[in-house]
Amino acid sequence: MLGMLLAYDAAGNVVATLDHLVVRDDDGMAKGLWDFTAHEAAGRAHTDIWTVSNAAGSKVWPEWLGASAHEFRVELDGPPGRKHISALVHKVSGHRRERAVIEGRIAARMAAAGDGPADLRDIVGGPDRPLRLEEDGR
Amino acid sequence: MTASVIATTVTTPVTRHLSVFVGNRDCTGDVLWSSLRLSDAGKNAGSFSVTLDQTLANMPELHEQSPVLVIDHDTSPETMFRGFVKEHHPILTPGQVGGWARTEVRATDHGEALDNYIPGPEVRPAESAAARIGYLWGRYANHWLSGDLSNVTINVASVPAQTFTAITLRRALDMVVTQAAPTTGAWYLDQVGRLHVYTSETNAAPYNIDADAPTAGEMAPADLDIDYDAGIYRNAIYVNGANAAGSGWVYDHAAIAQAGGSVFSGDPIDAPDCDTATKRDNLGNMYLGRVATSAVRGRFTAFSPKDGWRAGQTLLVTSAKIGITNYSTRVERVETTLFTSDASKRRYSVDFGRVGGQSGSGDSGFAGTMAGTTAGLGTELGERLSYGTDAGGTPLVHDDAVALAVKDSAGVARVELGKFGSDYGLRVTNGASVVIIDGTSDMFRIVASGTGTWPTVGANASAQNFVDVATTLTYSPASLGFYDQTTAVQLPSVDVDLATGNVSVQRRMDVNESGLNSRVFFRIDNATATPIGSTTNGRYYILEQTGI
Repeated sequence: MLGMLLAYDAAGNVVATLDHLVVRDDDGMAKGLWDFTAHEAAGRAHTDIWTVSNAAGSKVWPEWLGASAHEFRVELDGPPGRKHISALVHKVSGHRRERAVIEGRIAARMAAAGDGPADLRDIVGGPDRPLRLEEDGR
Repeated sequence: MTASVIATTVTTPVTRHLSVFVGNRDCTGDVLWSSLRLSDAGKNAGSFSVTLDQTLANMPELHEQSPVLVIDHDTSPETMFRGFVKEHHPILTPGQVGGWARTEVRATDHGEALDNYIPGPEVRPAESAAARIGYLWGRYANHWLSGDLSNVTINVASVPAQTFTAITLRRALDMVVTQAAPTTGAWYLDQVGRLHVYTSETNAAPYNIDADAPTAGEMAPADLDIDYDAGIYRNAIYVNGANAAGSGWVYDHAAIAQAGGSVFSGDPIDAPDCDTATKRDNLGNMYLGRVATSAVRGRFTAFSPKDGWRAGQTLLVTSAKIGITNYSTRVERVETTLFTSDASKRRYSVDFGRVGGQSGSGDSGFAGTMAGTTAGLGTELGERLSYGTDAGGTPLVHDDAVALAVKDSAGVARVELGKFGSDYGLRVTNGASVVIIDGTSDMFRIVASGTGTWPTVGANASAQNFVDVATTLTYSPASLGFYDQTTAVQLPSVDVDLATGNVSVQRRMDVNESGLNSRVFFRIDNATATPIGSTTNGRYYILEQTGI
């Protein structure tokens, strides 16, 4: 499952994002997009993908929020070395975008589609079509 | 009483060689004869095109599906073409007052009546081939197809029971002939709409061909061209029938022996009407009978006043140089054009043997799920589509300008694959946009995209952040950048003091090579005495030029 990368500073403020990155084979030919979620789930370092000079860390987020991501700070959860972003908190309104809720909606949509393709665009947006959020981050 | 001498004007009667009717209108006097083209193609689609020296407004009889009739008064039977208008448009004629003084008309022949739909199920018991054909023809052939079945001469007393469901009349004829006479059966529609179904039929062409020493009843065309087509060679085929009994391998053991024991099979035949071993073998043998040996086909041109070459005619071909003597074949397609102003002479371009694998019996009899006609697939841009692979598994090459089109419910082509102009490619149409991928131009691909942040900066100072992205590009790529200031998306900016002309604040976004990364700089230069304490973020696109 694809997602976007969020880089955050020591206070958790989002300072950079990466929506997608083309992957190449050994001959330099483009063969697809980097699966950031799978990379993180496999325990691999995000520095394989990018480095952000003003960031303290980087994690995957299942939605594409575009530049609106900078309006949030991240909340991390999980054991040391295996943390993940559990929620995004809007810096002005305090509205929370809970990861568990988003992933639950994704799972329900995919279950409903059975073996066929599931259209998740209204749930997660896309690399070239970020979700449009309201001013309070909803 | 003295007889008056009456002055008379003697008028030499005009001999009419051809008559052309569109709708109920006799257009003969308006025909520009040099533009007339007709093709007669037996069971395949024939065509007609002509330019009339008449304005479209003066021809209310001319509309889509208007009947077209061409009579050749120099031959017997006189009917040369029967069909329906498919396209007509005015032609801008230079020098003519009013401009649009001529009209071009195109038509296809009456063979489209063979595409009448049989919803079914039509369940036919074991019966003679003629009886079955007579039943289907009587039930599904409309009035454009002749009720004269005297040319249905196929003499097979018992054809296995068949069920016809959701197919065309054309396909049903293929199915009947395949089961009745798999290796010798054939059928075609003649120019007056009569059905010919036979295992052996003599319908003599005006001449036989002897390329070297023609005698009486023969001609030696100057442009005789013959080839042996082994493009589709199979000596074994798997039939996917309706059940286990109707499925299985069919072998041409003689051909296999001739090929040194090598078996060449290719894609299987889908045959949902094969539910017995007999039907399976009939279908397989019919198919192998066409593709296990090279087909002889050829073309020549005949110039004559009134020979009346037609599809379906039989002829013998002899050429000592090629090594064929009295090769018995059949005319598959005739294109007739005229080259005298009074239409008294004709030029016939004659194709004999198999034309692109579309002649003979049941060219689709072995593909039960495919349309049995060239009109079934791939003619959206006007040409034939063939299918399958050669013995090596390489897809067969199609004709130029062949296309496959996917249409929406409104009949609009949304995806087309084939030849557009002079290039081959893919065309996708959605709403108001059209994307063409034709390999003639490059484009930028977005290798990576994301956002970054311009830092805070003190008075009269510069600062930067950067994002290194593992693009593996070994050069500084093209890029686009925008920054978002109070929700307004802008390019990286330069603030200028208009009173002095000095740059006060500059926000830059650059992308440079950094090892195998692309480094996106977010740099801010503050030439003012006021620190910039708030951050702004920007979006970057890293681009790569690529062919499509």
